[in-house]
Amino acid sequence: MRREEGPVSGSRQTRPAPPATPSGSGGRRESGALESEVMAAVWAAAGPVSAAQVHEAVGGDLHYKTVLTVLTRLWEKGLVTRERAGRAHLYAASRAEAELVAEQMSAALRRSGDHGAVLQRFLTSLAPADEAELRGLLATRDPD
Amino acid sequence: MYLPLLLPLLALHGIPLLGRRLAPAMAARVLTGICVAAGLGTVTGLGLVAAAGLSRTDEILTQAPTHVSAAALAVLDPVPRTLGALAALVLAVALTRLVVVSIRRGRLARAMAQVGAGTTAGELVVFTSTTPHAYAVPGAHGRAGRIVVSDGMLRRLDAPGRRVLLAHERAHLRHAHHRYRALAEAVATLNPLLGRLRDQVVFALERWADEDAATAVGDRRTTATCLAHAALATTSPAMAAGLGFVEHAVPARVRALLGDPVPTRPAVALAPLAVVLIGAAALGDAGWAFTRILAALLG
Repeated sequence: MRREEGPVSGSRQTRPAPPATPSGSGGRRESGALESEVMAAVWAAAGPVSAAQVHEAVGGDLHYKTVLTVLTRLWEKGLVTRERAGRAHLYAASRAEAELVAEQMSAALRRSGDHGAVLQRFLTSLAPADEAELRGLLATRDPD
Repeated sequence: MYLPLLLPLLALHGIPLLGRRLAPAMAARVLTGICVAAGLGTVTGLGLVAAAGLSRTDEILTQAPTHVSAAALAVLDPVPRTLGALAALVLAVALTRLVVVSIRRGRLARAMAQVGAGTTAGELVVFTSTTPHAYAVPGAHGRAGRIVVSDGMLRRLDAPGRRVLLAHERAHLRHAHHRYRALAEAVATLNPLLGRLRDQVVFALERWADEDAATAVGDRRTTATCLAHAALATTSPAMAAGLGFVEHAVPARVRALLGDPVPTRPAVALAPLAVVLIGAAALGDAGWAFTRILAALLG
């Protein structure tokens, strides 16, 4: 399989606007949010994935072509690699870029202290009692 | 004279009830306002005591010059010199610490704003790390903020979980939560006794982002479930002792999302605002009385 590298400077592409969705199913995503979700889905996957798999992960209210367009854009930016598998492509996250960012993070965190006050964490750590409580809340939410 | 110093203590004890009565967005704003007022109260209180003690008004007052009214004297308790000196010392240390820490924090914030430049997918920047991390990083100089996440975090989440994560972090950026946070942290640095108030602000900001994420995802209960699953998948039990308020934040956030939303009622915010105004008035009154007396004594 050939592994293709994206061009250094991305070419401008007219991208089709994502279809409007009813507000109940999460609302219309902005294009930036779309790129984030597609990128996140590619990273979350265990190995290279097809556009169809990404489309399934990201959400049914989007067209397959939209997801494919976003993946192509990410490839042009050099954030994902792609290899041909039959008629389609398999996409994988570009670890090289992410490793560079990891170094930047380490450097930034090493140089200055007091991380707790500056960085807003998504989730704080759980005490054992918290863990039990969460499992309890989940159990009452969906009884099996 | 010592009244302004009571203001931070008032804030500390009266506030937790408030957090529950207000919708998160309003709560975060009001709590930050109270936090700032408490911080100003600390500085002004200490400053007044220091100035009164060190300007030797106690010695002047015992001589009781006739052209200073008895009422004016009554406002200004004679402050012993040692107490004034102590207050001055405490204030100087606190302010120095605040400046030093703020410079350090600013340096980190600026460094973080540079992370991942040129490697963004939308607003997402991914870095390699087996441990789960996710941060909303505001951009410098008016540039758009970024969501910086480790691949370790993304691998532990399913698709709904990732959507909640991104919506939550996006909310932090959209509402510039780092500003509220920075103010609360500065006040807590100035007066460590106000640490719990800072915790309340941080919690309110997380709740605000959770509610925004729930709106984006479309369903609060789904968001609650995603949050709970994400917490169980990404965090390990805290081993050390000293579990503070913040450590119990996640179940509280999930419970809040599973419960009914608190409606935004502007009227409820009036009570704490009244407290803040009264406190500010007390501050102003004490300061004004002091300057009048000084003017009378010097004039």
